[in-house]
Amino acid sequence: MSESNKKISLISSEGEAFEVSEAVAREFEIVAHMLEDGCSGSSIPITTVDSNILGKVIEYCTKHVEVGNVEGNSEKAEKDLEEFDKRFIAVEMNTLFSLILAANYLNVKGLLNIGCQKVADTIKDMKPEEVRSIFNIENDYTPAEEEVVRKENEWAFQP
Amino acid sequence: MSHLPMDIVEEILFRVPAISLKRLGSTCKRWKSLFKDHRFTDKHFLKAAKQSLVLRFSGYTQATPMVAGAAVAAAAIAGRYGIHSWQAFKARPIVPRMRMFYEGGFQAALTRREAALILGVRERVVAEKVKEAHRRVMVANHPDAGGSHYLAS
Repeated sequence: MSESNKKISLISSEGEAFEVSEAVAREFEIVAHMLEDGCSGSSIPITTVDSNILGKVIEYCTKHVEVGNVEGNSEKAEKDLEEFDKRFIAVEMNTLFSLILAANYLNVKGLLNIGCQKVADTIKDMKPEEVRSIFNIENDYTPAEEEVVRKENEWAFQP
Repeated sequence: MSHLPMDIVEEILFRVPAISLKRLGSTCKRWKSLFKDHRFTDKHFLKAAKQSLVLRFSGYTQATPMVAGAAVAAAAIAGRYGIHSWQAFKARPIVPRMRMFYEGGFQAALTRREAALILGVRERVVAEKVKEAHRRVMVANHPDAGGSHYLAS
């Protein structure tokens, strides 16, 4: 495939250009659709994602394209990829949220999936107060109402 | 910290096990009503299907002497009550018979007693009967037939 050698630059919100191969860019479904629609310019502005996050998303996609191209030793490669995903996603919450937002916007399904899973695993053992602070949620219960809801679900609070 | 759009928050919450969702209902009103929304629960069921509820039997009831004593007293009272209720039972109005299933009030860890209540069998029955009862409950609660996801998973 000669197409996969084509380079595409993705431009972050700060105007920084990231040059990637077309195969990697196609991992972003939003870009893939653009290319299919014949929007063929060699540079694509991605205005809602900053350089730091865009760099990370590209790193993720590059790795996944690389591994996807290698056939044969699939089991080992899959394990490696899992390890990579795990390390990739082990970042602090703010970055993780930015990654999820970017993955959602760019429509990178795999990244969106592991990102959401990571957050889910993090919050599943948390108290509602901690979850509120993570998601920036305002507590709209009155203390009395909260007590009622808590009572209802009391059994779920036991470790 | 961050303002995620609601659809992404939902994406995350689909991946949280049901028991944790129960607790997170007290995060805010929006979440609580979300967890009751059928659109949400259906999707949650699909995503979380892999993390099925593992039935745990916490062993036979450990009867302490006091409990045993109480049981004897209870049996005596029940005996008297039984006679009355049998008479009442004989005189009962004819109503269409419905299968009775356990309503809920689940404990944190499933006890043998609770499992038996859900399945509608006695606590000590042969494995075959348990299997048969399990199938019956599963059929009755099958999501396709409008049953409860919570129990079926």
